[in-house]
Amino acid sequence: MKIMCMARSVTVAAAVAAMSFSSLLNAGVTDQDILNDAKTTGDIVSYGLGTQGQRYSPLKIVNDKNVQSLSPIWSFSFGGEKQRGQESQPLIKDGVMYVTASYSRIYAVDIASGEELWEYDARLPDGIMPCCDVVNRGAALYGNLVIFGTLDAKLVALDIETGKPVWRKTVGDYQAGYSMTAAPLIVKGMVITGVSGGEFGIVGKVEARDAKTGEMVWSRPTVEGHMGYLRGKENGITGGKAGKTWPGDMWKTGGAATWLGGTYDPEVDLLFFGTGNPAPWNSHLRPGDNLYSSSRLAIDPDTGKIVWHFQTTPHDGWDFDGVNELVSFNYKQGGKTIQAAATADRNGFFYVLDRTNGKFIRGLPFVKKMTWAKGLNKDGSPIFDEAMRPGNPADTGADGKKGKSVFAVPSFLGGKNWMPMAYSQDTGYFYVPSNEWGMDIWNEPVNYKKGAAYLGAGFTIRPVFEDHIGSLKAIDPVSGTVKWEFQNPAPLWGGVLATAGNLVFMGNPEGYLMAFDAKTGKVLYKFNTGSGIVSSPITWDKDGEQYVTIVSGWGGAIPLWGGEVAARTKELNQGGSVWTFKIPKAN
Amino acid sequence: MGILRATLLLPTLCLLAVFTVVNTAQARKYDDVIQSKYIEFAVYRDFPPYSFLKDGKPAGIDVDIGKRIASDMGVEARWLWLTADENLDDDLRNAVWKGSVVDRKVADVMLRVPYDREYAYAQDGYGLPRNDMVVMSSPYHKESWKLVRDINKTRKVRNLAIFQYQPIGVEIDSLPDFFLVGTLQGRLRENVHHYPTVFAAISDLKAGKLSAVAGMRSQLEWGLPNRSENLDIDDDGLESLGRKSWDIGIAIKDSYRQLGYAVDGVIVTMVKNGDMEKIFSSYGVSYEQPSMYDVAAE
Repeated sequence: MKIMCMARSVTVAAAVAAMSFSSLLNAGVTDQDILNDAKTTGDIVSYGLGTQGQRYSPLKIVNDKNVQSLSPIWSFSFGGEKQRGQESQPLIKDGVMYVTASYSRIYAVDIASGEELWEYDARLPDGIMPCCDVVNRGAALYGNLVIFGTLDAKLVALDIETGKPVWRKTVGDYQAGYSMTAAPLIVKGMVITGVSGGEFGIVGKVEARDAKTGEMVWSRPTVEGHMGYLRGKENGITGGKAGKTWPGDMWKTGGAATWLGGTYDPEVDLLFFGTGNPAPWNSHLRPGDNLYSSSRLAIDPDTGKIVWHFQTTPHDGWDFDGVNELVSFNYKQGGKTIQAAATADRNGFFYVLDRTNGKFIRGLPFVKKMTWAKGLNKDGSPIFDEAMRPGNPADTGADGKKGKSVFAVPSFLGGKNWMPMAYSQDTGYFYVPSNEWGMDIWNEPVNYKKGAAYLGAGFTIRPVFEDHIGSLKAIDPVSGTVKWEFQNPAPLWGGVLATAGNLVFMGNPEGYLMAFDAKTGKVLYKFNTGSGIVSSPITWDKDGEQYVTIVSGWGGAIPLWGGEVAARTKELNQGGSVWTFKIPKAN
Repeated sequence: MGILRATLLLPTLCLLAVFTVVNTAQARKYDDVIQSKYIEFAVYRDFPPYSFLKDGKPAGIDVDIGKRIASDMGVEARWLWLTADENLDDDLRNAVWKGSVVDRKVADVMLRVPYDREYAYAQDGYGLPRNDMVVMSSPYHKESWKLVRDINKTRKVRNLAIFQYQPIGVEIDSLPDFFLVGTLQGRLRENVHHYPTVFAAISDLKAGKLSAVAGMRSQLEWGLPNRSENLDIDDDGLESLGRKSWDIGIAIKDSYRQLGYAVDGVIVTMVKNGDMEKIFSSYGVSYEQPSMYDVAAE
């Protein structure tokens, strides 16, 4: 049953009337608004607080001196019986907050009162099995549209005033395993998206559509051998031709899903998208680098051509997706400005690249223990420890015994997972939400799939340390050193925000919104939101006051995995609410 | 509940959908099943010859078995169409004891569940039971991996060496896929062709583009009705495959064993009196009894 119905488009008449009036004065969100987003503190019109993804705000009304007085002014509940993980970063425009929630829902909320203006609840097809949980990470704004991806791999554009659909496009076939959880990116009037789908048979892609109409502009598959398209015409095969780094016909189903979306840097005019692990999962079946899996791709936004790539985990065997965000930043060295970009990979390495050409500048492990690699070569490629590569299924005999088990650190959930880091233009540090955990992994012959005998992988995730898994680290990308660390008992699964007030904000699964001294890592403030936080905070100002907003609602991938990690999180309750804070005015 | 479910189809009444969550199907005890006059089976979606839609109506071997169980219990058969997840652990969670993350519906009985003591009692990496929320019982079929060869092409070669030179098709992410790609130090790798379903591979075999296809016996036979003599189904070459055959039974939630016994009674009768074999034959598929009956026959 593919009926899509707008289950609820509840409108508060008066509020809508007010909004309609205000929108007459505004032409909606423009490309210029998006390019300036990092500097305009009164609104947030892009995921990442600017397309470079720095998550830095120049606001300092709230700062290290007064943050202790930060107080909630309203809380908004998503309601319903659907909770699970709330990973959304809200957007702010013209007095309205646009925030997505689990199960493909989106809400417009009055930022002054926390009252709901409208809600859109994408009706999902019967029997849908979203590959990657039921989360959503946020929306995009363009013109008078708010655009977000749904679990059935559709892109939906709604009228920002009414919440009614204006256009809807299918990005992938959910029955083939595609889904969509990332926030779309708007560049040059185009909405640019990746696609989720970690399983067999899919191939990742980056696509650009006209943001006003949803019409396709270009499509770029992320696996070598697949044809790209520009305005309906063939536009070159990804990687030149098939079979260079894949055996047999495996490139046809090579994986490399672009499930976390991307960033854009206007200085070098490039899109940066990361790609997931290659398929099939077991690396022994596909000798070769398997391009462009587990990579960062720089793509020309006008043509959809790949300009450069940097592969963090060639021939991946640990499920180290390379999707984590690549954040553009500049630094000075020897009187020269270096146009750099940094990323903290699942595989535990922090990389600084030259964003003009993808060349490796430096790297360091940002987790304390690492077993799969012994370090990085001069070109940034890993020095593998082959003893730590999970076993070959061919060595799993007919005796039904499990194959060799290895303890690989980090685990496939990553030294850092999806949760975005922040970069402070004041301290020059990256604030990286990381986790210290490994996995036992082996071939599991006693397994079945769809009524058939199967050879799966068995794994258990184990913390590396007794007292903490989560670790927020301040990393100096120029000296390549860790400046401070905050240890958290539960794994960290939410994004980070840095501000000019010498503050770093992030939430933890224990439910606290926390503010840290950006220079020292000292906890200056915390407030319990009532459910675990796995989302990315934002800050903005209005009428001389600075506000901080974070979405609360425990879930995401961590509760899906049992054992020792679950033991550290089992007391955490689900939820679904938006909290907004400010410093109360003195009477 | 039926009325509320019907409203799901009406966009204008979607507000009500919110309230149907509390009314979604639960796995139920025997008395509730009998009283309600229906029993709900979880079967895999679009999975011939076991369970699929034919002219919009449920059909297939497992569907016929479910109908027979329902009729012997004096109730109506209903269907929960299950999209296969990554592995059986996930399917049991989605179909039998918890429901999927989206709609939280579960069925009373799941069909086509491998019956394997080693699996049923398997532990996870922490030494905890992997599937303690379900009971797997009542084996009704033995399924196996086979190769169908076009012997006009493979001639007299009965081992895998020929596939260093000739193409062989598999369903992607199946055990024969991993086996053929990995075996013989990967020497067959370049000639293993991957398909979304085994039936897509079979059509390329029929079109002469492949020399062989590896897959489940029932699916190969279903996909090649009235096949010509050059298409030979056998297991030559699969000797070192990790698991060549396995039994298939049912699963119910661990707290509803009485229902399981009632279903088991019907299944045992069907296996013994030959009705089970008749269902398989009606789909042109060979029937092999589960191992339990090999012992019983001695």
